[in-house]
Amino acid sequence: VNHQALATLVREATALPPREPATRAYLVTRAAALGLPPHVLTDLQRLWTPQGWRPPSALQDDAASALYWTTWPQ
Amino acid sequence: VTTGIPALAGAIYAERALLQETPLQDALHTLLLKALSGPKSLLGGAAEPQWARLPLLACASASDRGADAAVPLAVAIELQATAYRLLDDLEDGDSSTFDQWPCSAVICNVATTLLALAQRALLRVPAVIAAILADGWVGVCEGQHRDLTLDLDDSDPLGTALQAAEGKTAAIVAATMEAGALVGGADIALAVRYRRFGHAIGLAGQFANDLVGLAPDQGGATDISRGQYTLPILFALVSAAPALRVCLDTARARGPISPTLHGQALAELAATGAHRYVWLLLEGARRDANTALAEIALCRPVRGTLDRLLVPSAFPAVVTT
Repeated sequence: VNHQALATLVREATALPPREPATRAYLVTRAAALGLPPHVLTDLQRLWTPQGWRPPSALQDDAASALYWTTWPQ
Repeated sequence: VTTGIPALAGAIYAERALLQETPLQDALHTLLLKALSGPKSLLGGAAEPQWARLPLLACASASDRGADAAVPLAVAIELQATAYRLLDDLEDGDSSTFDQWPCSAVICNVATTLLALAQRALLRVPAVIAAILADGWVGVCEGQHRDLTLDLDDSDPLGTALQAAEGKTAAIVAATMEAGALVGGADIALAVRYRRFGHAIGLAGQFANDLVGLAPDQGGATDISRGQYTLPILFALVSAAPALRVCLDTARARGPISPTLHGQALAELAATGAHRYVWLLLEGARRDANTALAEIALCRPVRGTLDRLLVPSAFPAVVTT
């Protein structure tokens, strides 16, 4: 995945209301235009909830569970 | 030892034996034991030792005869990873490490001794496999160099940080998995699949680490207050984020940061979507790891060995109506 294209998509998605059909339609078009594979948008929508975006703490908790196996110092 | 990690007891025994058979001054021996007895270590009694288990699990998956053949590798990696961690803390000026040791020179000397001991452990590993491991550590050093010299005025600091992530954890985990598979009897084509798997879980670990680093630790510190240029922080710096910039500049100059400013910086970062960006990278790496795992599973069993290294996300797919 091109990291700059991904960054562009995330920035644009962040500025839009999640879960709106119009948002989804726009992001589908943008993801394709940016050359991103379809799973990127599918994954991004997994961060949508009825209350809006999943909070940062939820993403951090999910990452912490992935850290079951390792942490290399930064 | 009651654990699911194959040959773990053998690895603990081998590491103890290596320390005992090496003539060492008592005081230095004590410090080595201290360094090697951390919470995720072999000698610390971890059921899932962070580094040593990687070659053991790869070997157990690749071999029909368990993981005994990977014990010298596991010991060497444990010693090397401990040394690199100490050196990394020195390079980063990590005060939590300094507080535990008499002085920085002693930390450096303990790390050097650990690397020398790892050379002894590697005498029991075929040269070609030791070379794979050495190349993995060179990759770590390259990643660390990119990280240490990262310049915000670069044309693409985010790209540089991603290259650093590829080098750091991914390089050594890839090498470790490949080496473990080879000592277990895998041919080169199969070992490459283990390498891909290791690379993906290494990257996932680095991305996860960057996300977790945004959560305040017990002392309230985050990667922002530590002045780290991690991926989410670099992502957020592209946007107007004045409090974040001030926090980072102050932290890197070792100045005090008020809790209020730190909170503003965290809020600015969250508003840019930086968490989401890095989570998407993490999920992509997990997807790559799953693909590599499926390719290995075509030839060798992975259940109970490699599959325990992958923890899937808890976030379900969105149902759109």
